Amino acid sequence: MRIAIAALLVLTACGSWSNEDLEYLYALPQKDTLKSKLDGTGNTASQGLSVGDPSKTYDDLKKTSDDFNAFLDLVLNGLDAIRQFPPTTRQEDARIWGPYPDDKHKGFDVQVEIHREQAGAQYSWAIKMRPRNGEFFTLAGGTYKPTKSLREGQGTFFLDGKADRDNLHEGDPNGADRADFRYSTDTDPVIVELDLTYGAAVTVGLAFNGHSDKSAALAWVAVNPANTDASKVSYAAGWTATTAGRADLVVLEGKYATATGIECWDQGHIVVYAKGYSDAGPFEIGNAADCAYAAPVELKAVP
Amino acid sequence: MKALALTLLVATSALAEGPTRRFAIIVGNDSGGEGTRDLLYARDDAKKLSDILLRLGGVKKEDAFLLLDDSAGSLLESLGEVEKRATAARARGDRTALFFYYSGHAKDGALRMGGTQLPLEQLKARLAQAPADFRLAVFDACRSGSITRTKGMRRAPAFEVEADAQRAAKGLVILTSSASDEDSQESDSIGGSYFSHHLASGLLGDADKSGDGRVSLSEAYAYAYERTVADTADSAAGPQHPTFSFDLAGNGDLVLTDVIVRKEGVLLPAAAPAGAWFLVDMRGFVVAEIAKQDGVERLVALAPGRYWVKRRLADHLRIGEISVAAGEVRVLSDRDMHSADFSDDPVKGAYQTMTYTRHIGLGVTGGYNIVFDKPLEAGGYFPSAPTFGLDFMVHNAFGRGWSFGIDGAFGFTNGHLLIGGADQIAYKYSALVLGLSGICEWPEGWWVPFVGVRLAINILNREFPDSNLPAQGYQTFVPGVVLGMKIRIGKRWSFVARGRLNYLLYNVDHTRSLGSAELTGLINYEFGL
Repeated sequence: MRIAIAALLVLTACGSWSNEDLEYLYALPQKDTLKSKLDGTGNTASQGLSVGDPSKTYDDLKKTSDDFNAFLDLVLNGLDAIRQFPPTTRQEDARIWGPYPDDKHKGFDVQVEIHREQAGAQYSWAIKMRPRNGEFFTLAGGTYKPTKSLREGQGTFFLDGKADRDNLHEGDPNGADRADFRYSTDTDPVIVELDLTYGAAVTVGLAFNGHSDKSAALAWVAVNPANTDASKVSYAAGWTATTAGRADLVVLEGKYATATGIECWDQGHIVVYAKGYSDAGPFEIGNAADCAYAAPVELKAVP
Repeated sequence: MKALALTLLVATSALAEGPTRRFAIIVGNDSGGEGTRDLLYARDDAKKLSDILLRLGGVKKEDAFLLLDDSAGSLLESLGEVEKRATAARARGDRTALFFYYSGHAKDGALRMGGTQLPLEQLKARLAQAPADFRLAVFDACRSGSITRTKGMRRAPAFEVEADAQRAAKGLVILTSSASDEDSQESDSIGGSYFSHHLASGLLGDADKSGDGRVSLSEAYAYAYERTVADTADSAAGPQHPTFSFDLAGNGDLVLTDVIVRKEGVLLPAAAPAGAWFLVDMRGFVVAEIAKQDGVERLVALAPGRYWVKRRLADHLRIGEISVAAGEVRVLSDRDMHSADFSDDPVKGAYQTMTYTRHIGLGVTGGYNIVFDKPLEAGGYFPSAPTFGLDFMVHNAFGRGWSFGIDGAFGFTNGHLLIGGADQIAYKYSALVLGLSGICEWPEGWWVPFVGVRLAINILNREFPDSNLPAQGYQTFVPGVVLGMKIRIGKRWSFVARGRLNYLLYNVDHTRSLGSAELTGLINYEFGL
């Protein structure tokens, strides 16, 4: 009788009530923490470069920030789904969701795994897919080391664009083969670094710093072969909580290679100061004292 | 009345011949099984008679068998044991007597004892052959008079006492509470059946017509007959006529109780006003009803304790509260009493009816559930939380004092949960609990203790303000025990203090046996079906 009662209780006790599940979920990168927070809209109508004009550089910054966030979404949206459900399998040092049929890719299953390693000193995760009844391949994955706490640590993650194209037959044929992220949330600022690899060794970098006071910085390299004056330009931009900011650029390739420039804008994203080169030679407009930052913005790297 | 001047051939005490070993089998069954409606007071009547026989009737405790809501098998087993002891006593030369009392259902020629039956003919034959010199069987059951119609027994239309009889009676006497075509009635106002109530009052001393301090069988029967017929004459069920039959040799009457031997009780002096006096215990039950006559002293051999004394006059009551100590005869006078309204009647009456019959209780609850686990701030799983809810209880659902209930409660709290050894994350907790209880109550009096078992389903939920974390739920059956006390604060209203001890199984991260305790207060309202 006692055995029957015990069996009944065990069979009827069920649910997702797990403290450890929460630990595993915190090992995943969180978009809201890593995203660039730049309010406002870009100045799509901006043309010239005079004090009082809408800032074209802010426009580029805003677009790059949005692209960066979209890229994070692309990689991490797959993890959002599992936050809504309890894991399918709980193991002593692992949680597994799936395999589930993938609604977006008919005939494919998707599975997400999180593994706890080194007694919780590190976690690794992976989004795996497979053709129904076929072998799994890893589409995205990462590692995470909690340092200060579960929510504050350092990690990496990647998206295998080539695997995406080869197996799922989607994505831009000219897109990056691989995107690698490094991030730290145990620092102020929160730091995110992104490398995009095209082909054998072509890597384009992007870095983001987000401070707790809502100021932030973004560094990126813009490539535009159509612009022969500056086909490849490196930017380092910073902005305050009001979004007034400063960008420093270096022309890496093109007619003005090695040339540098500065542009500052106010919280309405109107040019207040600019310095650089044009066909007419060096120029400087406005008052440098009106810049949100007196010196070039320096971004911190992931430790 | 003349017709009831019963004749039993004899008068002197059987005890006068020498020591008599007395045995008693007292049976009280509220439940008569299928096709019968539960009685309210059969067990109480049996306990009352048993107490009187033990205190005043010369029955030793080891020779008394009190069977409450028991089976026919147990009755026969007890009878067999008495037969064995009586045989041994007779072999030693002792005179023996057996007092058999049954209060309960009888139907279709059989005693109905819960789910079991015992044919009256079988029992009667067994009693007729029992190896006791004198056997007295009292049946307080509907249509119990049928047992005295059967052959081998003589009905006694009259009862004549021979004061000088010398030879002790031997044989079987049967008393029944009603005739073969009559119902035996219970009364809420006296908290028992009419017949047993008056038989008990008589045995306590009021039937001592001779004034010798002893109540004989003939006195007790005559008293119970007269009072039962009088009380039931105007009842809806019609008058109830007890019967008496015998199959005797010899001519000695039997003293049933000796009311002066213990020298304790209540004495109504000759000067006390005539009329009906009620002695009521603190539970509101009438222990004895005395028909006081002018100029006649009456000793009522009450057990030590506290009692209300009540006289009912035309427009008001006279009430007093007295205490009877062991070995003390408390002399009662009208000066011990004060006038009171009828609403202050210590006899609970209809209130008792609801106490013992099936009725509904509805309660609003507030409490606190304490989980025997680490606090969540230290890595525990379930928080302690306040709860609010409703209780629905069917009292006396399965017989007197056996109740079942359904309860529902909602609990909630907020706090912080420790995960990973260092992170405190905020949560909002809620719990819906639905339970089913089986309760045993002791419903007499203003304080009603109860114990029971309960099975509940706990539906738990917690949410996190952090949008990266999903809400979590858990459902499990929770067995437990219940303990509490109901304190009546009116005829229908009560306050209940209740504790529950629960077993809580957790089996997601690990399998853990946790416990919880609920401390709850209820405001309860009861009403009849």
